[in-house]
Amino acid sequence: MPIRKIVVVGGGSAGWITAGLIAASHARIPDSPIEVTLVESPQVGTIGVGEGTWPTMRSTLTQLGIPESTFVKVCSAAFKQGTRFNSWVDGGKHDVYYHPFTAPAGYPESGPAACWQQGRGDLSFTDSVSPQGMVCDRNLGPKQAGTPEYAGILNYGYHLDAGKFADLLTSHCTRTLGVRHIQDHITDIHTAENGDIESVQTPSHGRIAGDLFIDCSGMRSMLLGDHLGIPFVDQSRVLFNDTALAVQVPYADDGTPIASQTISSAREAGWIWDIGLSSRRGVGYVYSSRHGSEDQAREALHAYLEATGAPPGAGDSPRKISFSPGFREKFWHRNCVAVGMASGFIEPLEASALVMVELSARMIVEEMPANRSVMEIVARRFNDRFRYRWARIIDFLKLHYVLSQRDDTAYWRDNRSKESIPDSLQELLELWRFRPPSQTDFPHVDEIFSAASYQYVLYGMNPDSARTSRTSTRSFRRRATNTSFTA
Amino acid sequence: MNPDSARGPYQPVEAQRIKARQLFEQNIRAANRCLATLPPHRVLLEQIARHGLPAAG
Repeated sequence: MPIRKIVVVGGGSAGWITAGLIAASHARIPDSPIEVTLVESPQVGTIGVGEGTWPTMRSTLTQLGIPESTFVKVCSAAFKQGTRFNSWVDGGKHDVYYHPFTAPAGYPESGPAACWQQGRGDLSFTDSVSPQGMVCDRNLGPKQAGTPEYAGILNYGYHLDAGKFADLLTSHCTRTLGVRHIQDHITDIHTAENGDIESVQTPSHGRIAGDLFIDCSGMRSMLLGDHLGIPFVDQSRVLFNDTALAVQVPYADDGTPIASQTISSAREAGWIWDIGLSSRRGVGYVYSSRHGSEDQAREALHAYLEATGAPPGAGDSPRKISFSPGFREKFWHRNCVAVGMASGFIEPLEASALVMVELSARMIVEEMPANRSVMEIVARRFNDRFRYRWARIIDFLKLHYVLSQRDDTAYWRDNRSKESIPDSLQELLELWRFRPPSQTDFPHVDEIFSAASYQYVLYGMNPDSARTSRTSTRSFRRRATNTSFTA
Repeated sequence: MNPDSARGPYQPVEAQRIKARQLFEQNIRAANRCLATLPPHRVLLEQIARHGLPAAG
């Protein structure tokens, strides 16, 4: 049976990106039999988080055919050049380091760690191997106004308004890419004789049948979890954060600089994100409810907003989001594949949510099974790939906590307990006592985090470099200005 | 997890040092260019809102 009818259940960024990429790839094929339908309940709101992207979003938007200028204007987007981590190492006044998007000079042919040693004692690791931390410190953009769409002087992703992004994708996918949009509630799911999903039932549009169902229903995981019964693999033993308080904060005035990096500030029971859009900031405190109360979290968020110039009252009514960190045991089962939060969700440190949506959608497009008989093979490949990716993401996020020297609360001490650290990460940390993270540690061609990212965090969190990062930036400028080169 | 762990035990040390020095200086030049030529982020976004960006290619 050929795969013709694809039904995406759920709107939001995950549903529309997936529907759009499938439709865009088949729109280029003359007489393609593929039809894409997206069913979105008007009664279910989107979470509206996931406001930070990776540079991969540039190629996703290009594939969708959305001009960058349109995207930036409509989604109140700004350019993200990486993440600045405040207070993660020891909580001290000068505790700052960057994980920028631009790869280190000479990477991967030459080891950036060796480059750092040449400037050692004077500069942080990031400043030795990349200009991007200094560019971010000065609130500069990654490109010039004359740089063509989707090109950059430095590598970049975006900060965006998730609600506006979903609206733009809805409009573009339906008007330009031919995605059929059904706004209706799903009241039942019908099973075929072979156990596949045959159709979903809606009150106003009746049965909507499909050959392949894509579950983008969010944390509920309506098709893969609820209906097909694929278990959830809890990761709260490793990553403790399970609650977030989020607010939208206006800028003080039209001249307030817009940060070109996500700012992640460690606190007693979690960390605060601060994301600069063109029209506002998105700020939130994600924390472990086992290690801190909601009242304490509100207080910490309020103090942060006050310290960073938010108008009075900006944090008075935060939106509370509770989640279980983890992922599904399988992501593709029978004729159903889950994308986005329906497949798993963890804290937004390193903004992995949207990139996992992009990667899932791309693999579905690239490996779209020609018929039902080969779907099991594709499903197995998909599951293997994404199990590996989830494991790598969890290792990388945990690395930030394991390297911290903070000792002020049980949250930080518990995060370093051996039983909370995956064996795979413990092995790597042992190896890296004697050599830098290398590409051989991450052998897949499409690794989600490169060895360079590990080096940025590993050496960024070195206490010596963290303590000197501020002063070193100034001394670097002096040194750069006073040094003559014979290039 | 200290600077000394950043050097692998079996690298050709002198060749690595020379290459690393070149990369370090290359990064200094790149940083100077970026700091001198990149616009403030807010200004860039305002310019895009008014005039858009040149088409790719």
